[in-house]
Amino acid sequence: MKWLSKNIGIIIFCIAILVLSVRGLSGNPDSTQLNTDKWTSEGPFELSPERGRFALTYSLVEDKSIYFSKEIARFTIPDLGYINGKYVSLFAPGVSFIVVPGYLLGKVYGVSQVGSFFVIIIFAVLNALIIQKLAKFFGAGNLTSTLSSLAFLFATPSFSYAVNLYQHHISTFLLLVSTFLLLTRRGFVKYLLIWFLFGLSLLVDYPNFFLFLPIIIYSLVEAIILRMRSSGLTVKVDLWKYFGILGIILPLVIFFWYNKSAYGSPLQLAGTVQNVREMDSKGNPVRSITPDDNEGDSIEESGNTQNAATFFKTRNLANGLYVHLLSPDRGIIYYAPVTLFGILGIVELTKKKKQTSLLISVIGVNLILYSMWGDPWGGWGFGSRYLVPSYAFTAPFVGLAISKFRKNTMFMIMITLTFFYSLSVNTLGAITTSSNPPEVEVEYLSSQSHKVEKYTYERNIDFLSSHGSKSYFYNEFLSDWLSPWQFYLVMVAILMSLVTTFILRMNSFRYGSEIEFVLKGGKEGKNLKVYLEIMDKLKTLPRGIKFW
Amino acid sequence: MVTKMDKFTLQFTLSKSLIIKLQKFFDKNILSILILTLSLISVFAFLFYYENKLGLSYNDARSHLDMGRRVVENLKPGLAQLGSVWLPLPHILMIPTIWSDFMWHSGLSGAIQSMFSFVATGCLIYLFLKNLKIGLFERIFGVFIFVANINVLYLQSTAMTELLLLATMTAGVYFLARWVNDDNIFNLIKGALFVMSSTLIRYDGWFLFIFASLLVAFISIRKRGLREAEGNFIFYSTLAGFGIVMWLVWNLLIFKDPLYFAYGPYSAQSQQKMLEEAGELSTKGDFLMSAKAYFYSIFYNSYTFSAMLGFAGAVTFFLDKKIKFLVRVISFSLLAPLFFNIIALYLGHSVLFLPGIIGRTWFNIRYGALMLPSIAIFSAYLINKLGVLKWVFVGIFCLVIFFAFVNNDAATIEDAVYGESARNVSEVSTWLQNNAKDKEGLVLMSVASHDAIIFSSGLPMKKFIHEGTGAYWDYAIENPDRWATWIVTRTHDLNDAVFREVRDSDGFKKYELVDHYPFADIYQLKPEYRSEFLAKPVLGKQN
Repeated sequence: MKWLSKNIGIIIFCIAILVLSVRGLSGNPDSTQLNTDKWTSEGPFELSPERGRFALTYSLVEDKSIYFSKEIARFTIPDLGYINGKYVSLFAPGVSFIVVPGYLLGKVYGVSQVGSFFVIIIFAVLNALIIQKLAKFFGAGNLTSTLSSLAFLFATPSFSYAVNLYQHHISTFLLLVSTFLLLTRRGFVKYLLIWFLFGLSLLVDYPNFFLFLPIIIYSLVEAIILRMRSSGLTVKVDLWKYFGILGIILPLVIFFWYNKSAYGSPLQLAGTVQNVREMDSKGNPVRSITPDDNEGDSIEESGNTQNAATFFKTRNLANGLYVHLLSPDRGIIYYAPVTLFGILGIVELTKKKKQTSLLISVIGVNLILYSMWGDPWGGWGFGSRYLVPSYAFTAPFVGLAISKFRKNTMFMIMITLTFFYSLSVNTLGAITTSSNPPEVEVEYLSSQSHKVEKYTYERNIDFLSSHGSKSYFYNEFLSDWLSPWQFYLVMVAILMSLVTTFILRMNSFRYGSEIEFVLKGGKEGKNLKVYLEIMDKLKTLPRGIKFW
Repeated sequence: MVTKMDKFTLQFTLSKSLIIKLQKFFDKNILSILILTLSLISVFAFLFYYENKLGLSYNDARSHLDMGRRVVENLKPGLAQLGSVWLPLPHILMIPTIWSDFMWHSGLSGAIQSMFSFVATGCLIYLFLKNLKIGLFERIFGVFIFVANINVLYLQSTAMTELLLLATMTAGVYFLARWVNDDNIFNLIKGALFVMSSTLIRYDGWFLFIFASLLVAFISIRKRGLREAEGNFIFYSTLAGFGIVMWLVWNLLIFKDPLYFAYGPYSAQSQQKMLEEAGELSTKGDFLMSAKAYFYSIFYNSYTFSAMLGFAGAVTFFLDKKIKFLVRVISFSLLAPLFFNIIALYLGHSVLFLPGIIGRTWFNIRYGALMLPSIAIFSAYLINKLGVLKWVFVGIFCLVIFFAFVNNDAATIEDAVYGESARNVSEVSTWLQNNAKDKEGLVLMSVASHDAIIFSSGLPMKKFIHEGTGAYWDYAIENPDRWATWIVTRTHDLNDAVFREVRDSDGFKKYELVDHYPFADIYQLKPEYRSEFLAKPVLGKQN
């Protein structure tokens, strides 16, 4: 509670910014309304991952079923599964289940879609708070740890994916909580929780199995303690820590139950069922895409004979790394360059704390895994969405780098400017659209549209000029007062002001907790510098006297 | 060892004496354990690919085996069958076993060298790292990087020459590094001998010879001054270059031209010329394209992550002042395959196809495997430097390898089965097996074009008249109807020596076309002319 009260300001601020940015429309749309352009291409469900997850939420609440009605199935295309004569989701079900409370609450107020999206905001804010705690654990101060959180939440594509309906913030939350528990807590419950969260993460997104591996392996190895004594090498194995694996039982039961119910087998994964790309007018799946809606006799198959591991190929690694790190359409260097300063923090901290290897492992597995993925672009999107966990795990190191190098003026100027750039780019993405095509598709798109199609955040700039913002709050309450550009500039200004304030406050006490007085001597005398450890003295003052 | 079990906690103590005993045991026996383990892996891999009929998929593998066989069994057997373009050592090593039909047709005669080389290379990686005082875990990890690779496991199961080259090159550089450390002349000699061996396996070895010679000269000057350097250089390069001299002399004696291997009708240059005329030599004259092609070939062979580790390791290694400067200099030889292949691609002496990058299919993708021992060594070195972070990279490497094995990711196998290195000659060879095996008569064909058919037909080498059969060939191309019952040739292809020679002869008109097949057509002597041909080999031993 003490921690919560200390951070209430930043919590409220983050929620406020995200609420201002969340995408949506008023209303509780039914299945017919959902299939209109207002809700899809022009609205909050512009891309199929969002539609696919919302479709299951809608089906659970409105139709009380895990199977899709024909209308909902049409809404979900092209990420629609078909098995045993029923339409099913092609995504892991966790996100859809988790946002049900938000849907229900939103429905009460006539904003069911916004309510669903708001659940993701909660996870995004929680992620920011855990990052702050992790940064402090590794030695960052109050201000720099908060800067870490802000860097993650607003200076990376995490911002865009906090205001729509994707799995990334939930997956990241589970990873962060597990990591935090592993590093800062003791006891049997910690291990139980970690395995529970691991199991839960599989419900949210299957590749989390691999992202969690460093955490699981670390927890298993933590049970083994080696001590070299005069008598020899003592090996102590805390077997009780391994009983934490019982924590995975409940999530696995849910996992197997869902797979059995939806796909007919507990071990059948969502992405391996038959994929429907088109339906005819009667709601039946068809084979080919033709203008006259042929009622075909079988459905289009898409990768349904693959096992899950074949989605990741080592041959994609070189290209994948280029896409995630350097490409103009998704690269970190364009969309989240502030995270690169984390490398300095990593280098500095690795010498001192071996626990950094855990965070670096998660970053490494995330980057390599999704570089092997057949679609490293993540379809149409804004920045590299698959690297949201990496942004989160790098963020504490950004704060640490700032702590370490804050006395270096050139460094501070560079990181501040990079911060501003990152904030500008990602705010643009958050309040406009995530539907940027990958560069590889642009040539084809241009040939179809007969115009030059953009694929970087320039597309978002054009979108802001021509279509405005997709922000629910802006469209409902502010559009009469501010133009989209004004809205964007106000948002960026607020964020930049906060970051600037933190940086200036950090550097106004140049030597940490000391205040420097310089008493200028006479013409020939030297200046006298006096350091007063006044901040330490302030901390011993009675409570209630606050200087922040 | 004292064991306790209390409140679900297991505790035991390994006494110091036990630890010391274990350490001594490993120090003494680790190499034996490694040899045993690698041998088991090697045999298992060979059997796996043999059972799956992949061991002989490479067209070149069949040709290598045929070349070795021709020395011992042929219409004109003898060492002259070692030919010109391909360097002789792999075929010489086959001679003790290739006389056996089983050893020939199973590919074991050639694969055995690859298998020994695989084990040797693994051990050399270990020893190289030990020489650099790398820790035990990292040494084992270095070997693991090399071994946990389907491309390596596949190539070592075939009669291809890459593994033999890797073993000799790595051995050469290892002993030279030892020489730099301890100044022992015997290490210099061993280094030279292995480099010489590599010059008799593939032309990459020639580049290594030049590269290493220059480094030896440089090191000697730094250590001992110019005078002694001169002696060392001459001593080393005479020994290491002896193979090259022998090869030039061989070409002079057999083909009357010391550079016949480079410029003759069957040379790589001639082949590359055809490709260039077809517009398929896109790396020639384009350095960036050559580098890109070769780097991608390294990535595909190494699963990319270990290549990245290796390159980072190489940079760190060469900048590490804790390692003797001269050891770092000689270790530069580990990069010789990289420089050689890029230069060869740039000059148009080599060709590489990678679908999506260059060309429509695979070809020679296995060239990237030549960097694998170097990648293993530098990666292990880097892991050793990383301290607690090493587990991160070891873990990620294991993850990548997991996916590589689950997906059966082996570009070398794809090249052998689907790429330009494949040659599915089963239709032609099956026809010959069914129609020529138990009948008298010889088959006229060009081995330069159709060696794979000879191998796959299962017929004895003596059944075939080809360019290397001396008088048989000379007479057959003049009067094919007198010497050959069957002619296998690619009609209208002037690159096929048989078609080129017989197309205008009257004798060729006495043949009827049996059928067109992929890669070749079969002609059979018309029945009315069969009384006039020579059914059996009649010429005795030829000079």
